[in-house]
Amino acid sequence: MRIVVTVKQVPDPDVPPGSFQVDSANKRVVPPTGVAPVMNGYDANALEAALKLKEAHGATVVALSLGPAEARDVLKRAIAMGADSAVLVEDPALAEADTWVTANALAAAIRKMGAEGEPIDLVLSGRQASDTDAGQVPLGVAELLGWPSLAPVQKIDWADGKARVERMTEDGYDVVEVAPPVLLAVSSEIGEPRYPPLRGVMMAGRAQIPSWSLADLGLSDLAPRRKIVRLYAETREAKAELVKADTAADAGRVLADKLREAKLI
Amino acid sequence: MNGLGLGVENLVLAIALAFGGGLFLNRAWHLYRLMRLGRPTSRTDHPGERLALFLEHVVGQGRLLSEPYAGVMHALIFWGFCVITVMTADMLLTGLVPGLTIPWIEQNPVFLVSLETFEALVLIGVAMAFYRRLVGKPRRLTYTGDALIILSLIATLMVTAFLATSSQMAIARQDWSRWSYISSLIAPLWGSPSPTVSRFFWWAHVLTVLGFLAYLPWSKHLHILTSAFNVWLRSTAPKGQLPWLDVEGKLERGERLGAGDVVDFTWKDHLDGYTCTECGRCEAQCPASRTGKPLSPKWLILDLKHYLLERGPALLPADGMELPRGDLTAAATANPPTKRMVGDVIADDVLWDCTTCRACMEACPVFIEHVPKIIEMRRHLVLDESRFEADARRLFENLEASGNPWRFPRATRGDWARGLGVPVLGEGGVTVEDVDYVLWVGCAGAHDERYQRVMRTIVGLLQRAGERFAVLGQRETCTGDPARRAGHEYLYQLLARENVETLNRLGVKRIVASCPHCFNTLKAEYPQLGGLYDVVHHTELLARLIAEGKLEPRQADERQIVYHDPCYIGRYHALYEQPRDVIRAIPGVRLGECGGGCHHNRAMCCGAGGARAFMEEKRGTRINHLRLLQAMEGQPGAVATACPYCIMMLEDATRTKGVFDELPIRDVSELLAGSLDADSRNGQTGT
Amino acid sequence: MSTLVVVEARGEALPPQALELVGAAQSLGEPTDALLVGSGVRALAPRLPVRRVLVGDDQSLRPYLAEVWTPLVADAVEQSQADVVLFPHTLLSRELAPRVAFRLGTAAVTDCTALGRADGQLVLAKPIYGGNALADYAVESRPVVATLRPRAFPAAEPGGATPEVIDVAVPAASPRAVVVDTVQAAPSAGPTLKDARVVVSGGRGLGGPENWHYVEELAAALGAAVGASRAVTDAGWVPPSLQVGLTGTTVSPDLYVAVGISGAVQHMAGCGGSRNLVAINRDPDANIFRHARWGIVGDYKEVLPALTARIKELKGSG
Repeated sequence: MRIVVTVKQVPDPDVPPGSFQVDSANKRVVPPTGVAPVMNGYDANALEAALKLKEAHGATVVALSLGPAEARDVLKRAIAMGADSAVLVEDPALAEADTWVTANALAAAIRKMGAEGEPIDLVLSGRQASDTDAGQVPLGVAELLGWPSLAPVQKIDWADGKARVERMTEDGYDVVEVAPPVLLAVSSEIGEPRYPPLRGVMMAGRAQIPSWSLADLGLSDLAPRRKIVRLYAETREAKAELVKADTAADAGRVLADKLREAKLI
Repeated sequence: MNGLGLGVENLVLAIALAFGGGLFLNRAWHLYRLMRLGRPTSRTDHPGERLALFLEHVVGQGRLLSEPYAGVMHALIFWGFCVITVMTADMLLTGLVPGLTIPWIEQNPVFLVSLETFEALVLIGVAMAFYRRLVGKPRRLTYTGDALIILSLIATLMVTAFLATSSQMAIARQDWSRWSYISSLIAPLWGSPSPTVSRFFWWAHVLTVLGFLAYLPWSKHLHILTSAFNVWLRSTAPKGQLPWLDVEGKLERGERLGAGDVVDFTWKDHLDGYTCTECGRCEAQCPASRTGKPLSPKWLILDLKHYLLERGPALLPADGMELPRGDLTAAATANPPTKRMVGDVIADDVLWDCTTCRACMEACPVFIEHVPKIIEMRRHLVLDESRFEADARRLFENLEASGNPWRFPRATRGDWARGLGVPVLGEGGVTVEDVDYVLWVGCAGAHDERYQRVMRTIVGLLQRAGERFAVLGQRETCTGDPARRAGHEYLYQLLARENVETLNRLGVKRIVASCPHCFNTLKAEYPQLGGLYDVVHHTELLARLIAEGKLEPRQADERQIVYHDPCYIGRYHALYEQPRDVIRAIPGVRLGECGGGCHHNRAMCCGAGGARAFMEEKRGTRINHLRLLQAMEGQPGAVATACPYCIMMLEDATRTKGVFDELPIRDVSELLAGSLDADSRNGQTGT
Repeated sequence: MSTLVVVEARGEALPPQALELVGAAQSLGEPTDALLVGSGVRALAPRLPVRRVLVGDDQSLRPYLAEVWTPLVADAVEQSQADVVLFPHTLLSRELAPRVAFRLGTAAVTDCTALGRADGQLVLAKPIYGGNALADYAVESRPVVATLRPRAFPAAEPGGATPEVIDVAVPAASPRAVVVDTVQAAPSAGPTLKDARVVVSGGRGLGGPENWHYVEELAAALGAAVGASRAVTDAGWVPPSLQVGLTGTTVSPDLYVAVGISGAVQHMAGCGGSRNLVAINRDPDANIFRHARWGIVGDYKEVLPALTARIKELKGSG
């Protein structure tokens, strides 16, 4: 079995929200300094699922990412956790990539992997990324590859050459059988990703991670389909806004209205 | 000896001696070979220090006597044995070759008086031991037949010695016999016994000695032979320094990183097992044992010893005369055990329960080294097996991501000092030349709102005393203590190297640290990485500033202040008096201690050490609650301590017990600041 | 030019978000069509207040598989000539909408909270970076595909003229995936602590376990998960599984309400990532206020019942 896991490097989502800066002029969110970016949480779940399949049934696991050179760090982490190899799609033209461009590039990379080696049976991706929360790219990849997809997935088994998958629904889950190749968008219910064993960390330190440019993938003039026209933060006081009223009960009622105003209820 | 079945008796004794001695040597050799399955370690440095400790704790029975009843009991038996062994050796010599004696002793009045005195004292000691085991029954002991057999053998030895000597005396009184004053008293009771009677008791004594010898290496009383060595061979490294681990080298060589099998411990670790007498003093002091957790330091050591006896033989060379040699990892891997040492014999929970407080090691009369073994096995769990709970994992990931246990952004590490006017080394042209020392802030000082207040208080005190100091600001990161004590040596070394590089690059020589864990790591552990600094704890510095008159506490504080000793400045660095001196300097203060004698080196841990502060306490009852109760026995108006995590744990306990408002938990520096006049409260934002 | 809303129907009632989608579509000012998809759902078509309802009704559509739905929806979008296609942000459409968009060679914007126009261009707003920023997206290809966050848009009024109902062909499909079983999970008491969007936590300041119901009532009104500080789980008022903090569960909800919690470092390490923190505490110096967006200094026994009642009112009217 050959499994590709797509992993995205994202700013650490666990730091206090106040420490993110919004650079409206450049339409960029600036994460706080001194907190290293991390592997997107759901992608780590997807990698864990792939490693479990590898342990149970034997598989080679390839981690695939798209991003700047720093994104190598998440690929190294993937190798440290147990992925066999990794590929980074890296190209200056991808700096402004939207979901369309990203999905096209990843789909081309997966096609290239399949053409150059054993066929790819599974692509596992996190159901969405914690930065843009879009959840589109994996499904775009499946569509571009012409593969079936299942999303979100909470359990993956492998038997008789088929994946047996629990796909979550609003009121439970469906058990779905599907022959490869298939793309599965994985949710956190599948299980906590492992902490990389030290031997893995050492191996990852030495691993060679090839980088593929758009030209390597045979892609040119990929035009983004969407763009951010405005980026802004909800204005917020640095300090707590103390809700004051004549009585504590009144303060409670005022607070409820404020929560409503902020669309929190 | 004279005239009675001369040649035959000598021969029989020779055979008996060969038999008893042979049994002994055979077993002892086996144990020695098993011990040598351990890795090499050098324990011959600092001979003077070793001798001093040997005299104090072996000859002087120092640690044993810290408990009066058990101490006196043991000292009587021990000292008695030392004297009596000389007599026994003399008997055996004479028995083998008539006329051959140890020169000088046989008719020496001093020896004879001491011998008889000690024989009697041993009997008293044995009686005390029987009483304790059969009637008193303290909880820390292990109750086995073994102890009763040994006590009976000892009693038999003493009784037969008296009977043999006195009956011999009744037959032929010598002029020096009167020095054997107890036997002299018994002798008349014999009337005129047949010489056979005297020979009978002589033989009874000698055969008991030989039986004792043969039985010894099968019994916990093996400690009679190993204790002296074990004390001599104890580690002379700083108490707070864990053994260095060559992570990358070991990985390269495919070796295990922690202790997962008997071959991963050192031979000294195995000698520790042989030496354990099951006295249970460690268990009685252990905060985990005292709160009903699975960890008992005593059983940890004993289980490891039993595991060595069970697992070890399969790894010994086939030739019974050969010692194990070289790296045995491969042999151990090729010959896997049916029960794993870590996991099956020593449960994971047992290892995670340890707070590394060192109370066990401080209590052990024979200097067994419990904590390093636990850390070696944690290293195995973390580095070899990647097996640990979610809490530990979160700790590791937070330290990796942000250099502090709570994942606050690194960029905010210096924020606590805003507006205090504390120079940051390397910023704004401040160099090491401009200051006398660096104030090490630590993660708690930087990020824990409660301890930020303490840091600001300390800064205020130092500024008031006119001290010249700077901080490292964002350049400081976690010292790595929680990672190291949780077994993640690799992560520790990453963090520690970063700090050592920063400190060395900036040319820092002197450091004042307030967190005892930072203090210990900077002082005792960074030398392993080439970081050599003069490190003092803030309570040491404050005590000095008071002594020099630079800080003058004037405002009276009429409360009873109970001081809780943090383990990492107390037991690890013997800073017991400096913090108390600071409290004593406050006018009107009454200094109290925690109840049950649980202070100074017997202080109980708050529960936070060994990275436990960052892990949920799921087993047993809460250590911090027990500790708070001990402190409350001292009738405190406030509890003082000198560690951010002790404050955290004790304050947590006051919250849960509903006494948060009545019983303030304060850093020593906060009490001091409160006692200076009003303008000294610079930086203190109130508690 | 028209807007198409996709209604994934089942059973005998319109799905909860259908009228919100129509409302959002109508706000764009173009004729609104709907695509009703499901098995045995045709009877629902007249209840949609739109111009035309395209109906894809076939047994092969349930249980749902993207392989079957994607070609149907893509064909219908082309047939309707819509230039904006709106989906609900359900689990199903989170998969379906991007697949349809990519099949049509366009891009989607998911989880939109507002639609508007800027310089004559349709812009779609959505929170990113876990709500730390809002982004307005413009899509340059056609059609524009979006999923809309539930309850973010006012619902359209039902009724009005009966829509034209048009059956669309359901393409014959032989999907590779086969649903072999459908499992209904027992409805849980509420969201799990870790994944909840709203968390209400209580601390030692509540005084005793007999007051815990204040927290539970507020949580129920908010549809929130209940959490607790370590002091409270330690004291045994509630099970340890509710502990929020470094040694408990780490949460990062949109809204975190801390009642009677002082905000010690070990607790803040577990909830510091919350987007909006509300602190209710009697002690104005409590550390929790340093992390809060809104705070009330006062007795929770007065604040909480009023807050809870007002939230129920607002929810009832909303």
